[in-house]
Amino acid sequence: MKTLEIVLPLQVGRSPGWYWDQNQGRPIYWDGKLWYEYSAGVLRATTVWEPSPNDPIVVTVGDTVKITADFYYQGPAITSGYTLYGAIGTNVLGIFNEKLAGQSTLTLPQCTSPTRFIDRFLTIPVTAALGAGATYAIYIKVMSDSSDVAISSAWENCITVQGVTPTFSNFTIGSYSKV
Amino acid sequence: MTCSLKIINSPASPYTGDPRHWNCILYAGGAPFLWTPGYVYMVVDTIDIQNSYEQTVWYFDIGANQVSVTVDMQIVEWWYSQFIYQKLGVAAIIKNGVDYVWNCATNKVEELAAAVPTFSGFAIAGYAKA
Repeated sequence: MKTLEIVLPLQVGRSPGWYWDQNQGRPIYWDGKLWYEYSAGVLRATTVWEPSPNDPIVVTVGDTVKITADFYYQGPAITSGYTLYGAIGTNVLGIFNEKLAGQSTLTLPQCTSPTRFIDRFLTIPVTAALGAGATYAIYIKVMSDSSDVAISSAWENCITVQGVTPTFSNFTIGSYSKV
Repeated sequence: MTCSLKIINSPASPYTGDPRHWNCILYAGGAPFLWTPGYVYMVVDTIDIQNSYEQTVWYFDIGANQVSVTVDMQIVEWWYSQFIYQKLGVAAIIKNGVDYVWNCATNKVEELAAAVPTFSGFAIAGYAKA
C-alpha cells in the first residue's frame, strides 16, 4: 500500500485569501493585516463580528474597562510610533459604531521569530456616552502613524452598562405658603 | 559607518577538514585596497573545519557617505603543501549602513531588507473591569 504524507508547515495566524464570514453570511478577504469585503467592484475594509466567548461585564459610569490583546510579533524593537487602540461601540449594519475609545503606547522588544504577547492592554474609562441598560461590543487594533497595522475581530455583547433607575422615596408635602 | 556582508551557499571544500583561508578584498576604481585605512583585508583560518561558511559575516568600514566598491571574495584553499586557488568575485554597489548577503549560488550581492514589524494572529485576549 502506498501512502502519501503531507506535512503542512506550522503557521502563525491565517494566510491571506478569501474566507467565509459565518456570522454575516458573506465572503471576506484577509490580506494579512485587515479584513475586506467586496462590493461594487472594490475591496473595502470591513469589520468581522464574533460573539464574545465570555459573559458580558457589568459596568457603570466611572468604571474603567481593560482590554488585553493576544498577538504574535516579529521584527525590530518598537519603542515609539505604535499604539494599541481599542473601542467600545455597537454593530450598526455590520459597521462598528464607536462610542468610547482608549489607547496605550505599544512597545515591543526585537523578535527574530514570531513571539506571542498576551500582556499588552489598554483601558477605556466608562462615561455617559454609553447608554444605560445597553450591551456593547469591543474591538482592538494596532496603529502606526494613524494607519491600521493589525485589527481584531469585533466581539459582541461584552460590556453591559448598568441602568440607574430614578428612585423617589419619602415623597411628601414639605410646606405651603402665599407667593 | 559600516555595513556587513553575509555569505550564504558557499561552495564546499573539496578537502574536508583542510584549512581554508578567506581573503576579502575591497576594490575601488579597479585597484585593490589592502590594509588601506577605511578598507578591510581579512584572513579567516579557524572556521573551516565543518565547511560552515554560511555563518561568515564580514564587516566593512567603507568610509563616509555612499561609496561604490567592488567586492572580490577569494577562497584560497591549502591542502598539505599543495596550493589550490579558488576565486569567487562579484561586483556590487555598497552603501554605508546597509547590510548585504552574498549568495554564492547565484553569485549576486543583494541588500538585506530592513526588518519590518509584522503582527499576526491579532485578537482580543480578554476584557475586564479594571
